[in-house]
Amino acid sequence: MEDLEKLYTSSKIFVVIPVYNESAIIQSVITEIQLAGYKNIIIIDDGSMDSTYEQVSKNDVIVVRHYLNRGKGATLRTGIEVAKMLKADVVVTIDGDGQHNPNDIKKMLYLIWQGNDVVLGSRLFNSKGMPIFKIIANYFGNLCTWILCGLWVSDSQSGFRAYSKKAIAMINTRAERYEYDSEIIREIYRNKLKFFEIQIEVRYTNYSINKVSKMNIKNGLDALFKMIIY
Amino acid sequence: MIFYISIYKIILGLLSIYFIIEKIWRFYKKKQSLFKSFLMVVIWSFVFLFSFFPDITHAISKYLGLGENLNTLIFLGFVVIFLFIFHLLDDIEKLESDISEIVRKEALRGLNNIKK
Repeated sequence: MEDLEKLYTSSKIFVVIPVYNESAIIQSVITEIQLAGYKNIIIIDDGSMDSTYEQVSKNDVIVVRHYLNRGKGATLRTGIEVAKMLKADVVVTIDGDGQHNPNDIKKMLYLIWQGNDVVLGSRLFNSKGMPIFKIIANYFGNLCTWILCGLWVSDSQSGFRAYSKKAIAMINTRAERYEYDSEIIREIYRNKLKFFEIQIEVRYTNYSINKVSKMNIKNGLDALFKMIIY
Repeated sequence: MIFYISIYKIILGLLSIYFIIEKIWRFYKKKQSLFKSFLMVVIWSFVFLFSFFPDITHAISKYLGLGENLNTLIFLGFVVIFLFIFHLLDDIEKLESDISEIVRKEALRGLNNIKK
């Protein structure tokens, strides 16, 4: 248990947040993560056109900026690259729109400490409050991921995940946009990584539901096409 | 069936064998997806088969009820268009990946100053 306490307070836990035009909410997301006890925050600004970059730069966080918008997959790859350069032991990825609760990170760290390589946050273990079209879309995404990637998971499109050092060294992705989340599942399967799914709290606010650049039908079909072709 | 060897058969045959091996190699080296590799191997296998046994096209035309050989030519035209599309998709994929790599390298350039 002493080891676990060490892990909780380790300076080698990095929280990676991909952001794109999140100026309205990003400050509260950073503050919430810091209050939960995580000081190593890596923000990857994916070419935001609003004041997101200026806002995040005011905080005690590591900020890296893509000067062109390259998509969620490319942004997370950059974030994980940064974490690797900083010799991270555990990398946690979390969305920048405030829908995830940073207090769930502790549960993820515990599961990594127990020997899992990847911990996947699942919104569908308890889908209460989740819009019905999102539930259907998620099940469809899970089905496609299962057919194309060979592994059934309850929430293949969740952005809240934790990776051990071994996992970040082994996972090798090429996906640039939303197909990234499914590609991670394929990498788990291909590299025979030990994974665990946990229920996470999701806060559906008007902001997170109405965000234009989030996964929608068009992005979903685009991701499916890329998964098949590439 | 009398089997003639002509220059066009040799050229097409060698080209098909080259591309079939190349596509399998690219899949083996993880440079191309299973779906795309499989499709390309199937297409080039047909090209190989048709170049050495052109009578197969007659049999296929008859079997499919297409009748005239013109239809077979149209079919081959579609095959060529598919090949072009897949080559274009390959190029786009590579371009996208290269752009992201440049953007990533540029973004990480300043990171040495903040390394902990």
